Amino acid sequence: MKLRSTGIEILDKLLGQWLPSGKSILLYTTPGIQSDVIGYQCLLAGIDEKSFCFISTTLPDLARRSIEKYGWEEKFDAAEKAGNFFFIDAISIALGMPTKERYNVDISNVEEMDEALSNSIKDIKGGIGLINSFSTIVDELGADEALKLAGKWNKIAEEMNVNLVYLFTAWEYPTDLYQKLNDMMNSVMKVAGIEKRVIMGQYFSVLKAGEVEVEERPILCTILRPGGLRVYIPKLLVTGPYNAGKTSFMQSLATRSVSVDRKAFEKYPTTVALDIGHVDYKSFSADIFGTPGQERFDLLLRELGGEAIGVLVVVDSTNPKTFPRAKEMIQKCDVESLPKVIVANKQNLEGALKPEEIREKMALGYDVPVIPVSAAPDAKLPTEGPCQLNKADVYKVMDAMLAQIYG
Amino acid sequence: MAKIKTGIPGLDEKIDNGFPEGSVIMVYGPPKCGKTIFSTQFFYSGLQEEEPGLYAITGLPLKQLKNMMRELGISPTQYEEKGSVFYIDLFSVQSGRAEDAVDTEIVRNVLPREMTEFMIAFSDGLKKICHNALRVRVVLDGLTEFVEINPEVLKRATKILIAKNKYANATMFLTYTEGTADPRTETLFKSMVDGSIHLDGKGKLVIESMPMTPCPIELNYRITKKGIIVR
Repeated sequence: MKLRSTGIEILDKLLGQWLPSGKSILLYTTPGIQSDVIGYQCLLAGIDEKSFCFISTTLPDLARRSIEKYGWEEKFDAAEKAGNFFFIDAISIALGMPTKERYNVDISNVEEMDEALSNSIKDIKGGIGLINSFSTIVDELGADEALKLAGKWNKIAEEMNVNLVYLFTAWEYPTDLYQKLNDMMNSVMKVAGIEKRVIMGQYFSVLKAGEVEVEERPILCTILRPGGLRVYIPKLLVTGPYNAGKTSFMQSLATRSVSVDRKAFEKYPTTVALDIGHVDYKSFSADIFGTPGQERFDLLLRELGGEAIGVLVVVDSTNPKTFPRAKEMIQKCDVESLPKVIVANKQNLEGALKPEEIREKMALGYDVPVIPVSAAPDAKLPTEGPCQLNKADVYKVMDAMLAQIYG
Repeated sequence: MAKIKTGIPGLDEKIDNGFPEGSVIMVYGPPKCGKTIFSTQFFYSGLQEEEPGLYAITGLPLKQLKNMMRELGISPTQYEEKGSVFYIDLFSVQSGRAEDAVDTEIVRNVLPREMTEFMIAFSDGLKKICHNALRVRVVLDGLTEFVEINPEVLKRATKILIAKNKYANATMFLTYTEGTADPRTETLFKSMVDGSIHLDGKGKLVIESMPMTPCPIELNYRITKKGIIVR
């Protein structure tokens, strides 16, 4: 049985590799939160493989504009030209506006909606359909009628091996409507906002994943334009002894970064305050904070370490004398209990200890990954100041960090 | 309690120096009685007081609203550049003229019927204007165009809109064209707001209710080239 990806790695994991063919997912959001991006992202994940339909209770052109904002217009346009993607325009007729989509129906007409959706599901056998949004259908047709339709569409979808994604704005509907929706969908997830005066951020969580019982686990997320939904890590800490290569690591990893450094007593610059960077990697978006390594800046460590989600500890593999200092810094940052990864830097230099030797010397448990990192093949060594590290190694560190945080 | 200037010369002193901060005030009346002019004056006086504003317009395109502002001698450009302004245009999308319905950093185009999209635009706009501002103003001009929506949907959405507004400590100004909805809907609107002002279109302004002010208060008003004044 084919399992489909949502296009968001961690969401696939939480949903148990998302959905078997023919199953449905309900995505409900609190009013004010953008959720259509998840729907479009699910379609995008399948766009190269399958045909799919897009059910629109909003104007198709508004949907196209949204897709453009996320940077996906080329793929969607190409799929549309190839006949693999189409809209069901359920609103233009009601507004008296011209329309040119494959299906054009009046959202307030039950029979028309039923026929268009049923036929569309059959059109896209094995594909994905997006209903944006089901709450609008509930408002137009009434809860009972809408639920009857959803039940029917789910049945046809199962026969046709079509996955249906229902977007639903959680207005103040009666509780039993939510219960009925929950029961009829294979999977349920929610996207909600973190509100303090205004919506400061948002998170998603999976509430139901097929027959598997799930523990609600909020995952912070952000929406990139372009880019789409990303799991958001508000703070990753990069720390380690002086001259271990923290700034090099930051600058090699981050999409954009700033380092506060000075040429003090040494001939090359050293960090005197902090490094700040941002990285977009796979389906994650993270802000990274790097500490200085010199002891005279230790008074900053606790503040810099505060509210970190994970820690990357950079050590100089050629200098085991600095390993106790690395452990001391973890303690001073107050991040001992956080998920951490040891970045065994300078592996390309003579005398570098192997990761297992570093693990032994630092007395680390096997639950802490130690990842070897070397300078980039074209880096000119020796260097004054930070140097570019091997990207593949750096990304292995990120993979290990994300696995530590999210499992 | 802090008071928020109304922007209407002669009105503030009648209601103890302005609208209570964080309140929801509705101005209603027949067509062409001055509701939008009142709204723009309220909006602009906020900008002048360093109170950023969100303006949602339903009855005409944003372009036309801005022309009206210019004719009244109101120029929010400098405040737009500072990021103190956010507009939601609920008209232009329906006009079918794509060039008039372009989203920017400070403009969002949505359909009144799409309450979900409107709520998203509203939340985004509120977040932008609340950044670094203790006091903000929100104008929803007007509720009339939402009336076609299912009354249950409208009631639900208005409730959440007002709640978000209060949570953000914004002072909200709503307009509504009298007679466009059934009496129950009109009564519903009045029950959801803190204060209501009626303009009759013939020069009579009645403050029907206002927190901490004995009402009704009957006043005369005039629409001049510079906007509404109260005598």
